[in-house]
Amino acid sequence: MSTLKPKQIIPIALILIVLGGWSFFDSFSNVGYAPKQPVPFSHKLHAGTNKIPCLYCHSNAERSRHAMVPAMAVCMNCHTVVKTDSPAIQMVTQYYQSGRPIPWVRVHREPDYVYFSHQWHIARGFKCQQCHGEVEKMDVIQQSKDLKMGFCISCHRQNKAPTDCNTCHV
Amino acid sequence: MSETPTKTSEAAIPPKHWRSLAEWNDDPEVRALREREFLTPSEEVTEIPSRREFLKLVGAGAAFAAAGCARKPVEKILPYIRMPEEAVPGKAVWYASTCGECPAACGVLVKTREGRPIKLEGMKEHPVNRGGLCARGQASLLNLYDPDRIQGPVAVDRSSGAAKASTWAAIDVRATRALREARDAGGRVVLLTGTLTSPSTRSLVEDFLGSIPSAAHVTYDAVSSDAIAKAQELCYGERRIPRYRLDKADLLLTIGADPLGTFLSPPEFARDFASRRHPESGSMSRVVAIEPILTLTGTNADVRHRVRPEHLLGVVLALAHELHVKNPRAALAGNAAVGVSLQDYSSESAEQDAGLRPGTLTALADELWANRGKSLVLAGPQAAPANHAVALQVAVNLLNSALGNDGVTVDTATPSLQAQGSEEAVLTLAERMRAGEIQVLLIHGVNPAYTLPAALGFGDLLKRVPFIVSFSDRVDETARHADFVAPDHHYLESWNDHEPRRGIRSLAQPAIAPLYGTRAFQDTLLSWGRALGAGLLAGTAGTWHEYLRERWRKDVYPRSGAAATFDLFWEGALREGVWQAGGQGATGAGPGSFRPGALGEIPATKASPPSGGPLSLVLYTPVTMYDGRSANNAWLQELPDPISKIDWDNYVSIAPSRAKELGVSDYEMKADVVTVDVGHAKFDLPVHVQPGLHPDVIAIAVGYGRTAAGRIGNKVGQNGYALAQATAGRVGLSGIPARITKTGRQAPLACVQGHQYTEDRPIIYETTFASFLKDPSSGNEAPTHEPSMWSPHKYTGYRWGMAIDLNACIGCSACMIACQAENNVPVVGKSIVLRGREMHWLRIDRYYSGNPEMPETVHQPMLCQHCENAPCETVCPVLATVHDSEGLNLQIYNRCVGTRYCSNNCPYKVRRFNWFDYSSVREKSLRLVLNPDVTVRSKGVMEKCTFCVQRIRDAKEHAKALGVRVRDGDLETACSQSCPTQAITFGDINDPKSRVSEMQKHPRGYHVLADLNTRPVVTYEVKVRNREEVGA
Repeated sequence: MSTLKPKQIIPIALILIVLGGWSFFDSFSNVGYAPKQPVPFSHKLHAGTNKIPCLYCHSNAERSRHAMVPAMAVCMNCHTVVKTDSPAIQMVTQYYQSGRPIPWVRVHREPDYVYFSHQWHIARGFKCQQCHGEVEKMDVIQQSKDLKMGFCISCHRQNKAPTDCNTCHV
Repeated sequence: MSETPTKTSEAAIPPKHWRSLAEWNDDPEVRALREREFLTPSEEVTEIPSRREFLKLVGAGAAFAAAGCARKPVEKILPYIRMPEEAVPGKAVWYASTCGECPAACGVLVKTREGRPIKLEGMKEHPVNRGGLCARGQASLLNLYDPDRIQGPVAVDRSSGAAKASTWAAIDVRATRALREARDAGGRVVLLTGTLTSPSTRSLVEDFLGSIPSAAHVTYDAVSSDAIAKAQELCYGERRIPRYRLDKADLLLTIGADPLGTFLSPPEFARDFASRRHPESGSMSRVVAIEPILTLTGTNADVRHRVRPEHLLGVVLALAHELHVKNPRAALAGNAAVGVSLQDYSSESAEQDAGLRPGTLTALADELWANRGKSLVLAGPQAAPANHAVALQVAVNLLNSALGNDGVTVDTATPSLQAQGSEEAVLTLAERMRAGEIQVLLIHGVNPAYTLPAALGFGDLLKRVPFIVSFSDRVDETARHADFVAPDHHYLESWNDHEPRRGIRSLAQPAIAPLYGTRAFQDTLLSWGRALGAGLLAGTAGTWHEYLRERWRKDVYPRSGAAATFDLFWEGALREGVWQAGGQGATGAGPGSFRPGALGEIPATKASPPSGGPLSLVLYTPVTMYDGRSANNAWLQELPDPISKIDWDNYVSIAPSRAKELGVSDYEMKADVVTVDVGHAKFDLPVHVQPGLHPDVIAIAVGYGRTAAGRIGNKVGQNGYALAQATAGRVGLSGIPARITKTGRQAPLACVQGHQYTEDRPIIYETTFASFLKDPSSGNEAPTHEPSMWSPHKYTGYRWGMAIDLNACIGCSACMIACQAENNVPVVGKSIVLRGREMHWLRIDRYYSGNPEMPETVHQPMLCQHCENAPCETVCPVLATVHDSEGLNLQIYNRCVGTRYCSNNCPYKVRRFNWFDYSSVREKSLRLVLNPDVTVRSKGVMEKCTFCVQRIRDAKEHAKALGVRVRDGDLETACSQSCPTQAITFGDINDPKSRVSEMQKHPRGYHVLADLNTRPVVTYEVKVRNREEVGA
């Protein structure tokens, strides 16, 4: 049995480190990430079939950096009368009446050191789909863009938006 | 100041401005240290890794590869059930309120994000502080989230002090039973509180105690102004604290008083003081300080004399003697009683006793007379020994009356209500407790077992009281002796109102729902008062909030003359936070004339001057710790004392000459530990050699040495109050005879001023007012900028800049805490500060100049200068620090790899490195204080002042929404906003009309280290002293 000499280990180690590092950092992209949600909410049904505007529920996107998952009272605006016999809606009603929030699983996430404001992107007239993909066609919400720095920068350059570091990193 | 510098060591000429005695003496050890960047070597890897180590690294790489397949941590999003109407997640909601940290009762705006208060800012419209807020006020926010607060009512085992969770019902039952028994048996019930500035709370206390015939309310302040109130009563017939008008005083004479530091209402006084220190206006007030220790006011005085506490009275009487006897000018000059009282106090003998240069007091008296009606004599209520304290105030009243200052700079028409405590009352209470006369004791807002002199044994006296309830937020030194602790809310969780000065009503409203199972002190009184079944509260209903509203409906609303309904008036008052009586001054009484009978307080014969013998101990109230109430606040513990620049400790300050005599080290890292013995108590503390201290005086800060404050505040330093005296109905903090002996041990003091030397480079420029009037650029010898090899940056939009007026900066350090709160700056602890690794983005450098025995002082805020040619930018190998299009020098945390080259290359030494993951050790509750707009930095990352880039962004976004440019004054950094003296101006220097542009054009403006051609965007203004040239 031949043993590896120290000199032979070095290139193997380097390859392992590079591969490891690459796959580690690549894992942050999460394109296609579509976790199972506690309530099978369908954007396709709401935004697609029923053509409810995104901002009806995510109304905060117009006035703050956070788009926000809507308060459960917003769901109940309709669902006190609409489809009350569906088991999923009954689940939502149960959550609502017991005063417990639905523990949605987060899909889109920027790191803490990134400042991103929905407000100004909406004000500029960008479509939600430019970053979030064709949500109105998704039964299960999933991430469709990698939302990494390159994605932000290329769009900022195209649109002559500021690219100072502190535009996003504060 | 008049003494010429003398120097004993043969080394080179001392630097003109110096930061520590070790630097002045050119200590070789310190010189060696300052040649390194870091005080202690970082852990260096000296060997290349062995094969085994290397294989471990390979293993780590493989582990990386494996981890790469896993998803990032799954996060949950919990939506609101119903979203509160006013909440916009991501946007701040502000509430007008009143600071409850001390009875100064400054107006604050509470910034909340997602329902959490994250910052306190002084309210511009508030008549007390007018925008600024002191360091302690800003830091009081952290107390809200203090993990050592008790989270509900507690029953205490009085023999062991052990605490056990209880219920409100149990406390209510036990307390009402005890109160009822005391009432029926005629036993005494005492409510002991600190100053209650709230008129509604006072009225509730009256209602509550009114139902118990033998009940009394005792008010006690550890930081007491009682001597002033007492002397006012003796001299003018009314017990009150006047409103001191520093803004109307052309000449301010302080006698051991520290109005800019800790006396009564520091942000108010600081603002008034600074309003008279603009040389550009053509006039400038003059400040003369006569004091035993170097106070913050003393560091800002134009002329300063050192006098030991025992001689302060003689000095003031000598000034009165000059005006009444020697050269009779004052109104009461012919009065026989005045003549008799003053006859023994000629200025010659006072000068001789106090060690002042002959003629000093005569000249000062003449100067006071020349400024009559526009001068102010202000003596510290605790500056003289206990037996002199009232006499000193009487003498000061005589002076102010003689000078016609009453009604002008000593305003009694709208007196201050910020200090109502009586030393006599609390000492009488102690005697009654000793005699076993007190049946029930309720204690709110004070900690007498800690703050009263140890000789009084208040802790033991508490054992003689059958039933005690404390309203403290923790089982503190006093609450430990109580039967129950019924925790009050933090003031940010409470309703309240405050009357800091007659005619001002300031509201406090909850900015957050109570975090824990606490209950408002007032609600507790209401519930007990009702349960007693008799008196004014019996049969009433409603909460404290409703009681408060009712008081306003009856008291304030009718006086407001508002046409609107009460509900609208109330809403308006809540929104504004403060209501002021119209026609200020109409309500109060006139000053009244001085009653010469009060001079009976003055000792008939002059006390023989103490000489030789023991030293004179002064227990002073420090700017950071005050009376120790917030000792568990890590921001305040890590805030360097504005004068000694030492944090996380108290120490014995002694004068340089005395240090030499005793042979103790003046190097803080090797401070000698001494035993301080006052006869009835003693303890060991390290020595700090303090320039400017009287050689016969030693000084110790109170507020340290807590034993039951919590994990941060316990066992930090020693309790100075233990050495205090209680004699003749007064608590004495000054002039206590003390002896010190060396123990032979050494203990390092965490002094941040020893870090980061300036290599004698010219950093401070100063001039005198007379020279300034001749030439506005006098003293400004800063070199001009050289031509640059770099092409200049272009700024088409905004360009942010700052101007700092050294003449206005008093060194109070409010900006440091503001910066810390705004920018999530971590606290690192004493051991790390000792290594020179403190994290404050903004520091205040304190420079001395002249003779170490009597130096002059300059305070200089130092922060990132956002240089145009930034030396840090050119050396960063990964472009983590870069220039932006608005002139900011950016630090991009996620790009930084921690080479620390930038810090090495920074001539201002303002960059801070995260040696550890400081955020990971934050208690959970303390994470709530973090500003969500600012990244929490992780280990291995450099950080520094950003000019509050998140506030710039907010202001720009706000302006953008309105479609306008950011207007001058709409945007302030945390430091400039908090500054009580408005020493810091921030704005757009591309706008030639902005305040900062105007300031930067002043002939006084200079750039620090301009010869390095860094082209800072921060302009400093030359310090102007209102005194004669030295040697003139």
